Amino acid sequence: MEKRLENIRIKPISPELKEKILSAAKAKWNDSEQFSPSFRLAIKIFFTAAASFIAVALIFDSLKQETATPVNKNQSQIEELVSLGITKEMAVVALNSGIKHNGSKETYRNLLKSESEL
Amino acid sequence: MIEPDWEKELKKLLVADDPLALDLIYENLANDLYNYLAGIMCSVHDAEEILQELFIKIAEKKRMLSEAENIKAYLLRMAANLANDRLRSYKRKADKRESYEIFIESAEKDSSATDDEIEELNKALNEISVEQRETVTMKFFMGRTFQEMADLLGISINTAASRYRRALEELKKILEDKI
Repeated sequence: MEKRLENIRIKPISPELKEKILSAAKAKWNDSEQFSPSFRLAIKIFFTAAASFIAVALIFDSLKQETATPVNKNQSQIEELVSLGITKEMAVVALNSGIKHNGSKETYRNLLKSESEL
Repeated sequence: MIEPDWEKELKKLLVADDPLALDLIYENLANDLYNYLAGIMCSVHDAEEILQELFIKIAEKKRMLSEAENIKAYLLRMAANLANDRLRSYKRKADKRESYEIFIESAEKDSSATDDEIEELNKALNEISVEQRETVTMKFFMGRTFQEMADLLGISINTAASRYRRALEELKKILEDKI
């Protein structure tokens, strides 16, 4: 069997093929990617990191808006409490904690006092 | 393994992004790759087309090639993958070749191999498995030793030798009554 195989060979490559193959491959060579794989990876990492940063910033921003100290809408009530001798900050706290002004300055003061003591 | 001079030169050209690298690969490996492809495809037409495809892939993957430790083995694997893709697509299309393409010829003009013998041998080579044909091709058409075969295919020397022996037995069996 080996003798038989020794007597044969594969038909030779056609001489015109060289030019055809090399010209097509060289055209591809010049067209192929301009940037190295590591450079492309660096760009990809940069954009992914930037996108993640923006996403985190947006999440924090929305959380901040949700947890922001509610501003007392009733400016006149604050002013009234301030006029009773209560600091502005305490007036805001008092109104936000639901203590109602029932008309009696003394009652209100006492209520506020007991609330702050708690 | 000692790196041949042309491979050192090739790596320099690849690093410099010089397309002359393609010429150097062609000069040193095209014949071997062509014989390998024709041997496993049993077709010179397929071999020529795949070789062209392979060089385009080389141009696309030039940076990966510059990092390859064994360029010859790397390119042979690329060629084998392309050949296997084509064989699979032929199988899918159920493209069973009724008439075989004659891809072999007498080694010498005054060789004792007659046209009939060549035709029968050609047909028998088509009938053995791709793996068996690969070893016969490497041994006879590329002149490789079992050790080189094992290195290039990434298999053990025993596997290479046993595949080759089985291929010869198979060919013998097919040709027994024909020649």
